[in-house]
Amino acid sequence: MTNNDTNSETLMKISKFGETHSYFTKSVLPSSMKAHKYSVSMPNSYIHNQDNTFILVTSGTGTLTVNGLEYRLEPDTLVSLGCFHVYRFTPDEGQVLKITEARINNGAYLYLIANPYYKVDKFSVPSEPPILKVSGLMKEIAYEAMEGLCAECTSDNVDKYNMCYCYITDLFAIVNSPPRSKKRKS
Amino acid sequence: MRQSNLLCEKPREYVFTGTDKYLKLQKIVISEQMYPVIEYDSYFILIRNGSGTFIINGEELPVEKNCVAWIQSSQVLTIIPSFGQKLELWVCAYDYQLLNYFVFEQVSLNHEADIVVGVPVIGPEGENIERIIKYFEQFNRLCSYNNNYSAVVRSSILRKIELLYGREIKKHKESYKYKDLPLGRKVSLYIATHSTDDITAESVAKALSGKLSGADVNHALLVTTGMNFSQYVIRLRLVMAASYFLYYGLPFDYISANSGFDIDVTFYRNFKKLTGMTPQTYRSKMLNSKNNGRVYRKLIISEAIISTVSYLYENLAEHIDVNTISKELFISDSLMRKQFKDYLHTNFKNVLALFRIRYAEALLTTTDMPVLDISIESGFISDRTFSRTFCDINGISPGEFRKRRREGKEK
Repeated sequence: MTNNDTNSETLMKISKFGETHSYFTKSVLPSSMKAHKYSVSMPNSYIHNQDNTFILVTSGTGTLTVNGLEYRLEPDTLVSLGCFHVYRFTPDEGQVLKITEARINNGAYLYLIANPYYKVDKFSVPSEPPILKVSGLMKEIAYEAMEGLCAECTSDNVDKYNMCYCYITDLFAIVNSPPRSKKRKS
Repeated sequence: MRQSNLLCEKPREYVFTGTDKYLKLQKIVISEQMYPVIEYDSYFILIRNGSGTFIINGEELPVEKNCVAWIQSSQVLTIIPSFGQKLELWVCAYDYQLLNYFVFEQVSLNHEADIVVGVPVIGPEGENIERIIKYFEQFNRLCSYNNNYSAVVRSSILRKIELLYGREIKKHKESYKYKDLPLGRKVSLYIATHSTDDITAESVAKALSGKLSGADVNHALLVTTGMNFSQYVIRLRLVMAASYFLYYGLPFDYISANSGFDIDVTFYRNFKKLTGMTPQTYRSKMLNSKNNGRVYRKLIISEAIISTVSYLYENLAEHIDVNTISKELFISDSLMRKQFKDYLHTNFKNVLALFRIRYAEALLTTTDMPVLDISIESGFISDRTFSRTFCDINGISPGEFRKRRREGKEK
């Protein structure tokens, strides 16, 4: 047996992970990302989607209800909604909530924790959504990420999903940054 | 053919990259010709002020303010400021392990081929350049925040710079002609894009031109990189191997085979000779779990774990156990248990329970479904099991949870 045969055997052993890799390719890689801006001028019905959603309120005030709990919304509020969060918006009277929203498939969202610089204390699925009011450098990065996502999603760039993944990484890092301020309405 | 610029001394290492330089911005002022540098990772350079010349594997490239360079591990760089000037540089190391994470590839043959063939210096004008400069400035500001969020955003900035760099070099594709490059640069470029192939100096000479010999190739490399053909090829293969070190579960013999080494022993022996360390020691030095002035860095969580968690989410309402996952995803249960414990600090049953309970919470608070129906819908075998698990995680019963949420009370 030559050393080349030994290496072939090793490669064949690894190729048994082929099923994992094909599942990874189908379900985890960022298959599509969506981003858009919209306005909410009256209470909407409950929304539930299978993707992970980031929402940035750019103007207006109101309330976000998530699984029965209410959260105050003001400009510069950034929210991360998971696939188990059923939510709806209620603008304050006379207000129009202007929102930028970005979505990523759940598998690709999970891949964010694989970043070698991201520290996983313990894998968790939060009952309540991470929500905070961004300011300073975080605000600059969050707004740029949302603008970038909207621009890239509609562009013809071949690498647009790669760039979008970077912006989602930024939003993910910001909502998980300490300290997290809970803006729940009493 | 253009003449190569010759090296006057052996290149030095760990000047711009190294385990102490991950996610750090280095601000450097150079007032006279620098010694040549060759690294194990790539790095970005932004010219903040001044002008001069970068010599990259014998090729001279003029630089001025707002030029950006992306130097690869296959490139020997000599920096020469213009006469009487100082070059102010901002330098960020961009490790190949991070690059591999962002391209979602565990193993990529000739991945460097896509990177090295473009012009190594871009700017000073262009929309992409302006954005790159803005990202450098953002990176600089983030360096003063020593926390997880800042580290992750900095990692994404490096990837954004790379993507914008790639977009910019596409514009220069027609003007940056391979045939116009000096011989040393051509040879190193060819080897960098074929490093995992079974190449010899003679085969490279033949591929480049019928008039060249193996000795010509050897000589061109020696005078521009300080290494002969064999040394250069082995170095590139070792760097490629090291770029996969952060992937949990990839055995070294697989990495060595994929990096072009016929025999494992050759890989281990050359690795130790080049770096002074075994691959295992080198890998442990690439990681950092303590706050000792270095940024936190861990192994990249494997495809297997990410796929398993994703699978649990997709099938939370189904009956799932270790055997189901092993069968569907071809993962051994012992490996899966170990990886869950080491990297997620939990086990797959807890993760599955969490998914089911969170799904149940959504149903409890937004529907009028009976608790029994919710327990079945969310994958539990009985409402007793559901209630017990719900209490363990949330501290209250499903009924109480629903009541409190509807009344708007805090937990």
